[in-house]
Amino acid sequence: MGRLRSLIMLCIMLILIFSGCYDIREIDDVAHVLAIGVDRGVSDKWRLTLQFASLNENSGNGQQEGDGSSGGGAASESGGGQDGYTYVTVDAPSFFTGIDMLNSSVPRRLVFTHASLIVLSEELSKDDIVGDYIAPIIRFREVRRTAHMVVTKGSALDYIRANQPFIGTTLAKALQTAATESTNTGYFLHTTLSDFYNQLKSTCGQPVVTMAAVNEFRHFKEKGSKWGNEFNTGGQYLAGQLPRQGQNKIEYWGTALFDQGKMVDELNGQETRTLAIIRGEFERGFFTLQDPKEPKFVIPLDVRPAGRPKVKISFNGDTPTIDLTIHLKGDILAVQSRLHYEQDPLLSLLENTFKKNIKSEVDQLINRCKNLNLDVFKFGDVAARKFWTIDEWEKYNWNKHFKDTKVNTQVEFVIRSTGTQMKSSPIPGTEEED
Amino acid sequence: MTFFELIKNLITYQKPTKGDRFELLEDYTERADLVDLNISNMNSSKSGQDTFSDTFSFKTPKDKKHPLDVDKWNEERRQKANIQGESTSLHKDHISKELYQNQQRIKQKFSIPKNKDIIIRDLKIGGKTEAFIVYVDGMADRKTINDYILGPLMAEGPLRTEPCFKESEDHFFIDYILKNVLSVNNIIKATTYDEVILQVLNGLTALFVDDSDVCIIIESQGYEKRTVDQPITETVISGPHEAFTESLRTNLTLVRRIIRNQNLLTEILPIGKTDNSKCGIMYIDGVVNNKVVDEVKRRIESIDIDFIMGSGMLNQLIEDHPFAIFPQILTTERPDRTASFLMEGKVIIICDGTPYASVVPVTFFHMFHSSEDSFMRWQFGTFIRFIRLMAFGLALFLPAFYIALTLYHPEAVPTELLLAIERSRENVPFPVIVEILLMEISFELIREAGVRVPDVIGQTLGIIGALILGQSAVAANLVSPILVIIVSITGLGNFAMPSYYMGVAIRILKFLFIFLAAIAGFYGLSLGIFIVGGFACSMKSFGIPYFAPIAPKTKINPDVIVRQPLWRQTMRPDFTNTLNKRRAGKIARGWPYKNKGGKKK
Repeated sequence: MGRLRSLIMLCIMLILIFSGCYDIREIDDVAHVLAIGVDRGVSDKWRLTLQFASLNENSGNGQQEGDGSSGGGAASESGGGQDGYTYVTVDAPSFFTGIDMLNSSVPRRLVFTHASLIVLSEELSKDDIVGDYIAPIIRFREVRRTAHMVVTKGSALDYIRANQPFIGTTLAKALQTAATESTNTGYFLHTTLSDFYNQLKSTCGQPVVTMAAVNEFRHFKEKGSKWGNEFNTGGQYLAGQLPRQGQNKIEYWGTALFDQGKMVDELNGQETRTLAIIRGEFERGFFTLQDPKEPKFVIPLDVRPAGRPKVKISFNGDTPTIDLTIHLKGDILAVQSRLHYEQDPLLSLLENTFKKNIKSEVDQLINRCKNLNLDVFKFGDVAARKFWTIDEWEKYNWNKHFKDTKVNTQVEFVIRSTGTQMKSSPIPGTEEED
Repeated sequence: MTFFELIKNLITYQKPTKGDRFELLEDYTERADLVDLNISNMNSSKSGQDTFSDTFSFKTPKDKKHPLDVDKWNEERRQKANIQGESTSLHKDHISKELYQNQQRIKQKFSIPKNKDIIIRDLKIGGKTEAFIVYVDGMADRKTINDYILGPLMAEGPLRTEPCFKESEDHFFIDYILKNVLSVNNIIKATTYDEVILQVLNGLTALFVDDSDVCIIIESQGYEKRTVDQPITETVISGPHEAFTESLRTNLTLVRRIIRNQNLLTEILPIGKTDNSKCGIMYIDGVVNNKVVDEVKRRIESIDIDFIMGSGMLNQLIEDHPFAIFPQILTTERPDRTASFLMEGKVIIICDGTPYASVVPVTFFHMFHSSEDSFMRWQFGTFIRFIRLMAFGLALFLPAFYIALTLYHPEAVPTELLLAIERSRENVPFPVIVEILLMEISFELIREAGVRVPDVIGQTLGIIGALILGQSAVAANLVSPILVIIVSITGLGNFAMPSYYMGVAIRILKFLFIFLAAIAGFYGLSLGIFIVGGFACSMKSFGIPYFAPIAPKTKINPDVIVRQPLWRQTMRPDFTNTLNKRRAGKIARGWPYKNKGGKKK
């Protein structure tokens, strides 16, 4: 009895031991892919680009940039001694075949559990085949749905080639922090794979994706006639057009608007901010306001939301009416004209001007999207509550009716703090101002 | 039984077949309301001893079985021995009236003259009566023998001048010597050789007098012993700095000096058959649950073994689960900690020969307590206990966790860290499991070697072992640097355990978890936790569930992990079923309340 029992126990333990270790994967037998790029291929349907750490301490030396399929790419362009990141590209009939094809050249198994960036090319996105390309990635167990998803101008290959850490040494950290920078500026939205996929399936609205681009610094003009006193908000550029120069060629800027898996329009930075304000995703941003009294000066404001935007929807027959109230608050950062904006009546003037500006921007954006028949504002989520059953809602087809909506916007804005100055007064100088 | 039934029985619940397992259950005599009296009453000087015993006997249920007090118990034992002696052996064991026969018998018993340790000295009491004394050289104090035994017996005085006592009144003569001649504090009368021999071996002196069948045993112990020293393993910052020694007498005194209460009882039980060693059981009558005392005594009395060196050996013989990995008896070398356990209603076993006291019954959580906790303010004590609990987790699970993470669940590691680990493992040729075993085993080697090497180089060995070995192992690409961190944190966690034996248990279990994690990742780890936890929960330490008061849940005196302020700890642990449940008044400190505490003068 006792012997039999111990025999059985031994068997159970042996089963455990021999069937264990099945999933074992030594950490240095794999290459953890950090970024996935998808383009339309030339030799085949997919052009798959994968970026991973080369774990090579003296990277950048001796590696040649590859071209096209199965090419190994060189790593960082700046300084040695840091981690190298390398990429491989292949043209393949499908995502998974592509991985297998690449594994024949990469000596380690490619693992996607740490992929934190998915790049789609704009060309691909505009062809209404995003669903075809996204579906396999979504279904693949290893890719996290929290991966940041972007649409890039130009090819994804170029984007990944330029995707190198330039502060610090780790790309993973750079990817993460860059993605969350959206909360500080509002010039781009942080969209994940799961956001995109859920919105793609959703009957309540349309997906948006962060727009990104490789900025070749062509828009930065070192010399030329100097800027006058014309007013500019700063957000009017499209992705890849920012007049800047510096190490990092990559920029997240603006938003790509999708109509059921097909990219139809692109928002610039300022419009993206407005979109974020309406969606309730705006957290903070510096706005530049033209001085209402002296138009040649500007007043920068530090603006934060004062509560979530209130959306009320009522139906008049099949036509929805949306009452949108936006609550914002802000601080004055500077008063260049040195007028006494800290108190009424100039304070109210400032607030009203800002309200008016935001309202017109919001109305413009909503009208633009109505013309495209795209509800990217998550109004559909609220509207769906007006229906008793999902069947009714699906029958109604919100995405079809969005163009008929009437939107009444109202903006609330208060200036909470005037910064470290109570009062602006003219600086006494040698020149007589009066 | 078919094969399938066998398998079914293996995995389904079976009622424990052993019915005689000791469990400390509550019964109606132990209801709190019956014995809800405050220990502070016991010490109040005004009420006095009589008042106390009145109240106590009043509140104690009548049918409660008291443990026998020492005298009665000794008497019973003696009677039992006598009965046995009379029935089995002959009359020989009784001391004879003839002095010569007595001497021959003693010589025979001690193998004199072969045995040079035993001294027999002939003398004449008062120059008239023949007598001799027996003692063990070195065990007995020569000064006592010379000045207080031989001196008065042989000196000028009434013994010489008084007329000879009548032969028939030998008892009177013995009593006369006891009362008037021997100026030694403790004197016992013995009637059998066995008793005499046992006492002589303990260092006492036996006096045989002609024409008397009673032997006088005179206290004269005076062997070499270590003085009270600082604790070695349980050092604290705040609190007393004295530790037990090897002498049972000293140890009992050290405890009694802290608890000055007449209800603190000490019983001495023999344990080894050949080495005649003994152990002391201490408990506070009226606080302790008598079932536990009875059980301790039952287990110790049942021991039939030649030789018991000390508490370590005794503990192995009386613990509930010899095959379980967790220690079920707590050992401490601190008298103050022992005293606090006594006040909680625990039973203390102190063996002659080792500087440790064993505490029963204990729970898992006692292993994390240190005597320092109570000396510190409650916030500090609680914080330090949390650190210890964390140390327990780290020491037990960290290497296994690392293995599971890197082998099976790399997606749970932050990407940067993962890349760092990947980079550090780049040049290491072994799988992670080999790497970690290599490091853990060498660390265990350092620990073991550190205990064995002489003190002089011990310190250096620790540093060399830890630093050089870790450094050069990394430099030689045998292990990755992150592993050195993991192994050293594991080691540190282990050192933070207040209980050394718990530490050893954790060291062994750590390897089990490493293997489980290597076989099946987090799944294996959780299986292991389930199995080990299940075993631990089914364990009992002298009738008390090992995981009380968490599993099973009982009323908690707030001193398990979070240590609440001292004045909130008013009850003794519920699971010990103490007779006296309260250890403080309902309001432990009266001064914040008006008219409640503090007598006005």
